[in-house]
Amino acid sequence: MKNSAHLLLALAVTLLGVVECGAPSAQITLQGSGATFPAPLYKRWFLEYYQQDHAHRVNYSPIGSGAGIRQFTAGLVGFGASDAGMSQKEIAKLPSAYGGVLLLPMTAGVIVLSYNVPGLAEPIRLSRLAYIKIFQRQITNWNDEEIAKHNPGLALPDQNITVVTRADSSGTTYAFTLHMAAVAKALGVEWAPGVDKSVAWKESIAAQGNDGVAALIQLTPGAIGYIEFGYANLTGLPMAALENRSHVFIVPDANGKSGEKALEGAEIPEDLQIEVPDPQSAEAYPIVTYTWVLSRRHYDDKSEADELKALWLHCLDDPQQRVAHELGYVRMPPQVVARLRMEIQKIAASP
Amino acid sequence: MTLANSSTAFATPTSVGKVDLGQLERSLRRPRTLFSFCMSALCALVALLAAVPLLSVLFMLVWRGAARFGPALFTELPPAAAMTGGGIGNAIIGTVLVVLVAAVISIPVGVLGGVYLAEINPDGAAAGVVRFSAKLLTGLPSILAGVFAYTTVVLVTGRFSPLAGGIALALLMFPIIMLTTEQAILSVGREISEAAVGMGATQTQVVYQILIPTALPGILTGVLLALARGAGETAPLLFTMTFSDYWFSGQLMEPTASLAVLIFNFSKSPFENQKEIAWAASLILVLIVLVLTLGGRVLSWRASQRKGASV
Amino acid sequence: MVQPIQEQRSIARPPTARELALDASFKWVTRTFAGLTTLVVALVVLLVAKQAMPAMLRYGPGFVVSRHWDAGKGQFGVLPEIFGTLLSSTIGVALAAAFGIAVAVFLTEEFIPRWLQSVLKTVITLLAAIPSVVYGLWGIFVVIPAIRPTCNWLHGHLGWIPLFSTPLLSVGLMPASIVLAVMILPTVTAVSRDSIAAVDPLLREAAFGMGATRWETILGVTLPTSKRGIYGSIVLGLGRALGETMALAMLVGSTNVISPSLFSPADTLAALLANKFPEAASPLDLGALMYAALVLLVLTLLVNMGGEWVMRDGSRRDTSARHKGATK
Repeated sequence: MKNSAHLLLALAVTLLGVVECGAPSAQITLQGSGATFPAPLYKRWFLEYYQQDHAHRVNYSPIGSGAGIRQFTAGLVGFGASDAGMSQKEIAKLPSAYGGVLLLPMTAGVIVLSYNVPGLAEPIRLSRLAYIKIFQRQITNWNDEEIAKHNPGLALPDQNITVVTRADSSGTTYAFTLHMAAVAKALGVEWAPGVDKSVAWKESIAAQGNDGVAALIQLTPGAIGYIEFGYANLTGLPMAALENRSHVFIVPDANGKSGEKALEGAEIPEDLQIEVPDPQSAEAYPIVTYTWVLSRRHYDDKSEADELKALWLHCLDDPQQRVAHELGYVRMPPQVVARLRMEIQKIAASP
Repeated sequence: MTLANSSTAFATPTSVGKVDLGQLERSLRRPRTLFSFCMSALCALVALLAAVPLLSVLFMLVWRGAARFGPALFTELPPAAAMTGGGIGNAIIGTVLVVLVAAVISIPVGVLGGVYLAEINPDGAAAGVVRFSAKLLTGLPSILAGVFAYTTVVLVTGRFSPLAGGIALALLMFPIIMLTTEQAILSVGREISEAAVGMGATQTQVVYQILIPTALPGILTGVLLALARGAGETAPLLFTMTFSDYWFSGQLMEPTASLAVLIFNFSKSPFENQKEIAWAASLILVLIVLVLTLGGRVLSWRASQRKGASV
Repeated sequence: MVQPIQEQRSIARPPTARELALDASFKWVTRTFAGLTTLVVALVVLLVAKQAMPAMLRYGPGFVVSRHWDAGKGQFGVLPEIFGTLLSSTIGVALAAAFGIAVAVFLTEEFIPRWLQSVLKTVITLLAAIPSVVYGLWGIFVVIPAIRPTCNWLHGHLGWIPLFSTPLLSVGLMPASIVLAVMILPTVTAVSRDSIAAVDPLLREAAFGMGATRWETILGVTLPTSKRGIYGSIVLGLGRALGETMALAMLVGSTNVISPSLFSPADTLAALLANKFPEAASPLDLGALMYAALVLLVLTLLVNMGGEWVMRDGSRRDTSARHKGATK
């Protein structure tokens, strides 16, 4: 039996050797984490950046906007990502060594209401009142009057609506509830859950991440949930046509035009935390959000600062923006991109 | 000699003492016999049903995962959104790495702790407490191991790493090794070690030269079972090692890929390609774990064979 | 023929001073490593308790009975999670016990040849090796579709019984409990089997001699005699079930609800931790989660301690070849 012990030891040493040799010498890998909303895009960008040049290793962990902000603040990652930007309270908690935070809107996207009601020929049209009430469990059946009256051609089933929400702290939830609160105010009704990355929903089932919610909707007949357009598009989930501020029902489209219309003309604040809770345009899709990369102003390591600066500028190039469009994200207006280029230049090494 | 058992049919003599076996009857028409027969049938059915889940899991994995098997699976990096191809090469290496780190920590602690329990001070009160603690730790929720390692390693070192992951896994692994080592050493006969003591060996020499070599199959069984457990855990790695999309860079203090976390991440992906990879990775992980577990069982079976022969 | 000791080339000699020193230091090393075990248990409890302090002070025991979890408003309560943990574990253990004891009996009676017994034993043991995340996938892709028709039939026809009062949509308590049962089956089977096998064969023979049928013996003699071990196996299985994380996080629904229905989604303490840990920012958020972790830790410790206590005499009877006939 001594032989077995020797064998195991030899195996262990060999493996260690292989593992060490298989790796190029000390590579620097940049770490980021945060929102799941833009995760497919970021990871695609970073992997292709690596394929261009193996020296560019950028990791991204999609764990939700809230967790990303927390890890960014704790210094566990070099950059964060959030669909909810950062609140003043969160910014105040950042270490002074960061020199402040830069909120860089990398792309934008549309939040859709996907559902699982098989056998319908067209997307369901949901009025503003309908979707406000559905998510507050005031409408609980698919054949409810408020839904049926806008869908005369559809045979809506007599089926309970199951609301699917996020179990984790999410910028998507923030953007979604921001819109809901604005609509509720416009309609003069109550929006009980409030606006935050994590709210208390009445009677829902929950899943982790945009991907988890999409998967759960697929599994659950009669379900409806809010997810980023790309996840719905790729999983083939139907998306509801939502009534916008001008009382037009807009279907989310792969072209992104309705999303671009929504972003048009929105005011650009100093810190680039652009919010569009209830878009003006008649052709605008109603629920749209930017998504930000959170960067320190000052990095201790100059090479890290330079790497990141180069990375973000690279992501604004045409090929990368084309990929964004291909994956279903919304093109940012040129004024925002211009402001963004200037903002990225502010990344520097600590003085 | 066993008396006639109601359902075993081997060649029986026609009489036992004064009892003529030919006169004994067993009729299913009798309620008691019928009840026994039906219970046996029910029991057999239930027992065989218990074998179904394993077959179901394996079938599911092979059906969904085997299609991706090929050299690319082992030599490429995981694909990103809407990309084709890709593989799990870095995840396999990462799993091996973190289990290795965990093994380096847990094997010495487990084996030597087991030696203490079995040999150094088996009947002491302290040993009782330690044994009890080890048994408690085998029931520790894996998420708490992750939380512990996060608080003590990740926050202290300021980074996610296979070191933190390895410590979390070691926490779950070393009690298994410790308790199995104790049992293995306890089952080594007294005579040899007493002979050694008679020749002037210290307890340490007895342990190193007699007990451990003799108990090695049992110890290795425990090690293999612990390795299998470590390779399969997800929750402890989620917050200690997170994940990496690239090949291991030689840096032990960086997020690193692993099969378990890859499976968890990709299984919920909206991209068909990534889902297929998750299945293939699941199949590979289960194969690794099954090989380790079966290896452990074969070792202990062979050891019991040898012991049977030498007695 | 044994040569007289003086004539042998002598490897027998008293230990040298160096060997004695090595001996003493080695023993200290083993003591340290063994002690590490208890230290780790203590550390884990202390660490969790320390971080739970802010929440414990703020919410007190009300945390355990409150149903509301709203991080934004600073309201925390884990009653739904405790309920979900206990209910899913209980159902899981009940199923595992039913199947596990049947398998244990099946393996200890001579129903099938030895080699087949070995195969079945191996198959059950391998169930323990399968990673939790793979069980989660199995639950989603195999178990849920398989039980959905039956569950919805039960809901449709017997929905007035509170246990069946909601339909099985997808994830929920039932699929989670079934998968949990499969996961702890190996534990229950192995311990029960050892316990049944340890019953004195003479007792069985005596029963047969009195004319008992096989099953009258099993039910009247064997099982009652091995009762303690079987209970122990159930308690140990319960301990495992309480702490199970990944499979349940994927299957139980992560919904903050208490419902009598078996098919309703629910939540467990471990799943809550897995979902919310990465994002807990403030000491109070983290404190609330650690408070939940402390509840989980205490629960699993108590149950495992109970299992050990029930099994205690059983383990003393282990055939310890080394210490047989020793001091006792």
